[in-house]
Amino acid sequence: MQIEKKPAFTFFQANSEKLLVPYSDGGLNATFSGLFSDVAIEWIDLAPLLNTRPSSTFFCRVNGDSMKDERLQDGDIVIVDKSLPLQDGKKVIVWIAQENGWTVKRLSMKDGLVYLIPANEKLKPYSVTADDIFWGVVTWILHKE
Amino acid sequence: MMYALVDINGAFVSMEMVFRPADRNKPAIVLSNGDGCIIAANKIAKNLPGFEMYTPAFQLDDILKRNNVLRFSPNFELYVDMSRRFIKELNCFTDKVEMYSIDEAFLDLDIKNVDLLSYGYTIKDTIFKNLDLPVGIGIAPTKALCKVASRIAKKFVERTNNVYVIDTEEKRIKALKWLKIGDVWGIGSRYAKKLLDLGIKTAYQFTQLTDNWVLRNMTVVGLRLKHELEGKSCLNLDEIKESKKEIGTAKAFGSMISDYELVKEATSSYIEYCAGKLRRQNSVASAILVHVETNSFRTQDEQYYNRTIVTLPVASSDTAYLVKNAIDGLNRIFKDGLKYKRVGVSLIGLFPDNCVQGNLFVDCNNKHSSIQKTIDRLNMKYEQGTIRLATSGFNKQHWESKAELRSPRYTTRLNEILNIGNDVLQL
Repeated sequence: MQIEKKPAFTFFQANSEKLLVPYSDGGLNATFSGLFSDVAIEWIDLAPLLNTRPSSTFFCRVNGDSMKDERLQDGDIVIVDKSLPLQDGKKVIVWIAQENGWTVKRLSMKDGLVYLIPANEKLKPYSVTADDIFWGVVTWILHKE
Repeated sequence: MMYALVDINGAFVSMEMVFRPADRNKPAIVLSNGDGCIIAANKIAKNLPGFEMYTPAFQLDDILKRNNVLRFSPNFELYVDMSRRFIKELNCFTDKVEMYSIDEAFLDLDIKNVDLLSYGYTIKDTIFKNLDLPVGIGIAPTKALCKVASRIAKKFVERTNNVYVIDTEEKRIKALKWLKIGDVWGIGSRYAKKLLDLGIKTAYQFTQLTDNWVLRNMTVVGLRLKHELEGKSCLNLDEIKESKKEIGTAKAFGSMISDYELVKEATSSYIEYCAGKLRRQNSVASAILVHVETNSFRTQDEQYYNRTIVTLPVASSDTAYLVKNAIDGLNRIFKDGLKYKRVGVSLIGLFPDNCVQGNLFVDCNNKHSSIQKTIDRLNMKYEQGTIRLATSGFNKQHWESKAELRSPRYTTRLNEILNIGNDVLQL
């Protein structure tokens, strides 16, 4: 399979054709050229799956292995929707004021205590402070095999 | 019927801060390309003593350094994308959203039995939650009054919390008595001076003039403005496109067009028109937004919409230079074999031409200045477009923008997306 190449200067809009993957009953020889215009070529559009709310959805890249035991690995791309409510158990992107940097962790909200939980035995949960800023909720992890 | 004007506070800087939460309460500015002139600032920067918009940054170097003002090169690709998201968010409230400029839009509030003030706060809170963009909102029975309400919302933030509604005669009159004539939306400095000379100091006094006088002295647009301020909705937004921030045009073609040369010609002539307007207000543009679209009602045809932003290496008002760059933009998004209904151009990031820095290495701006003036004069005297450019054979050189201070294009480039790198919560 082949993903259509992005032209140099168009917007990375996930609701446009950039996320289309060609699909054909005739196997993988489907071409873009229209040479086989009488052959039905369907497209699997990943946008409705990955990007259900384009206006508030952002893509971020994750470095580090603090979440490695929960399917989130170094170099993965996460899709983040800022419109979603914060929920116990969701992975969230947070700005940690004191450390002056970003983190992605699993949110734990129980009995009025708010923690960010890592998925790496070497790390401890972090107690969220009033200065920390919740930025968005992770909806997808894109991991390249 | 009520309208709401929603605009993004300190738009360009606020858009930068979406991805820099730690800096949200610091003074910050955006400089024109070549990093010359201050084209945008947040409120904290604007409030610094001695700070002045639209001045070359080096003149304020002392103030900027002393207050640790953050500087950005313009990232129009980011701004345009955030603007698109802003409009989409507004579309969740009503599909009647009229985009007025890159950072402001009018909404038709066709709703009954709703507390408008709390509805305004809902819009404001939603935009902030979903996009981290702070907005001000003015709600009123006409668009001109929305502008007044929005001004009040921003001026008295402590009391309004950025939302103000003009929904009674009492509030309308109070607002108009407060508003200086020079600050009335769309009145223009020439008319403002004329009115001041006649002792008309406030918007309220302006509305006390007779229709007859206004029509004779200030054209039909002036009369409509008066009616709007009186609470009678009658304004066509195109008539009053505020000059300060953005100049654009996007007329539909008479018939569907597939021919590249014709689309190119239209683009070129729209730019000529906008550039003329730009020069009449003694401004230059930092970037050009170009879009093409097919007719979405012709469902039998293949549909296409795309747009692109061309950031100019050096801000300019030169028609030849703007046309060349607009055509470059068109070439990126034009697809053969489609039936186009419309092409549109907008000049954005405008600022006064007297603070253009220029760049020794870019063949751009004022070289054509005297020729340009002659062309403008002839076009004014005869018909717009009498003297036209031969839009071909331009220098094919490409200039890389000096963009050292430009933030990543977080939302439009996969290799520049927000990096949750070096996660701070790992040891």
